[in-house]
Amino acid sequence: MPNAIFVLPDGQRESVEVANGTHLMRAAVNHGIHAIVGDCGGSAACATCHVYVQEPWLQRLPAPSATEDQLLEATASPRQPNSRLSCQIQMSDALDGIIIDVAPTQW
Amino acid sequence: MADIAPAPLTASSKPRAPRPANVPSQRVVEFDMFDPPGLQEGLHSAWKRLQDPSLPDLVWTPYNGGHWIATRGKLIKQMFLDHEHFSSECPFLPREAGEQYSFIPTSMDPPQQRPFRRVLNEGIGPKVVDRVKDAIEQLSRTLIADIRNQGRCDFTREYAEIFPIHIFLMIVDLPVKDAARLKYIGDQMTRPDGSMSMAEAIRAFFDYLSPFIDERMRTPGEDAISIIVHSEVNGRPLSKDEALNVCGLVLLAGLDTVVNFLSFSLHYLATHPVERQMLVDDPELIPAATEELLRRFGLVSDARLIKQAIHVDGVLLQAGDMVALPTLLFGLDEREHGCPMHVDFNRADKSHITFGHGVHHCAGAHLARLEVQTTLREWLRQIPDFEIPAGAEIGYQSGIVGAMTRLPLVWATPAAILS
Repeated sequence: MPNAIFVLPDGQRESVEVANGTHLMRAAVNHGIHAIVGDCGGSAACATCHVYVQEPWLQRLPAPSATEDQLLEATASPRQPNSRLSCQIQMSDALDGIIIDVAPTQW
Repeated sequence: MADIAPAPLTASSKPRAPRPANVPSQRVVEFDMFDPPGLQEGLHSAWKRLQDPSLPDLVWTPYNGGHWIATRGKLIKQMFLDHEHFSSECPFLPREAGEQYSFIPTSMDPPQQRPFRRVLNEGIGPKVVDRVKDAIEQLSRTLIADIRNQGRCDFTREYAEIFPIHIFLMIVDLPVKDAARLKYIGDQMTRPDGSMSMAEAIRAFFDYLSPFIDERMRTPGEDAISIIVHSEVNGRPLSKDEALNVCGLVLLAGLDTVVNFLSFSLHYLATHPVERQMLVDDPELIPAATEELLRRFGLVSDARLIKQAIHVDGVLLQAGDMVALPTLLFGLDEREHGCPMHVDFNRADKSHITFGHGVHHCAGAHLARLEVQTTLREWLRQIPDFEIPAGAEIGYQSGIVGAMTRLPLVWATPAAILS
């Protein structure tokens, strides 16, 4: 199973095995990573699963939808060029090893 | 605090619907969501009775036209996410009120709902919050400074019903003098006293909003109504009717949510001096405390209409059935949180669905959080020590949005301390 590495706001790293097709928000919440909130359950409605995706994985992601782009305008931690909502990132073999910095605050 | 011992559910005096064939008798509970048994001891303890270990996760009540109630966090979330079976077409109980409910996008399902949700985000989403942040702090500080020298107040009337409503009216740029009238109409939708039907209340909102919408279609300002009425859906401008229904929702949401939540929060702090002192000593803890209070004191119970028959929890829900999805029960569920009735600001997992779950997650959540955090910070800075006077009665109401109708508080004034 591909792996995702979540770098928490306190610098701790959590390596999580994520099945292909599973969204990273869901994987993080199921793994007990509370720094990712996921209030709306993955419906792209709340912007509380904000992460910064490192290269080279960032360029392998599809561009954000209009809805995700709008929500990223409104995150609690500042938007960076590599900001994404983790509920919109679906795991795949191409993303194996992906390193994601979790935004310091979600609300 | 120990978990509250459940007491038997008792009958309301309201009419009872006959039990349909698909409802097994052991699923029936006597629970009127607008007047639940035990309400006068507390809103949350009254609802918590639905999580008695003897009850199934999905129950049916004969009150308010007869409807299902999902009582456990997992099931409530599952239904919120499955909009194909659980539709927002009729999002309020009782059904006759929900059928008259036409607000947008809360009465829509995806994909129709999506473009309207973007309109709502533009109007009252987080970007707007940054614009009003200073005003929020200023108003909170001033209101509390005025109250402080009195040494006592009814927090509900003198702060909770003023602060968020004024902020909100500022965001939509409507006259503050209309607050009381608008609040009365909004309350008839969420906790009706029988003086107005849902259709009449919605009509009253539209009659009020219509001239403002016309004016802002002609001469837009920077306010949320102007932003909404000038937005586009699916490449075309919003119609007048759609604009009324989006603005109507915004108005209702702004008048009746943070208002109620603030009273529950201050009631908790007035009765828990140790936890209160933690926040006085370390205001940095306030955002985490706000989340924990949101978990413990959820307020909203909206509903869904079953669109296609589905088996859930061992029973068959028929197309046309209604189900109440009480968001306030998620945080109280011991299967989601250990010692759920106990407030612990340092709890690692404070997850809640107080702002809803799924595509209709509250678009004003950022604003609400800022209003609550600001209130806690300012109140505790100016009035760090306060309590409920001995013998004072707290008033509770239940409904689509639960409420505290009265919260008397007393404290020593600076003058009294000096003498």
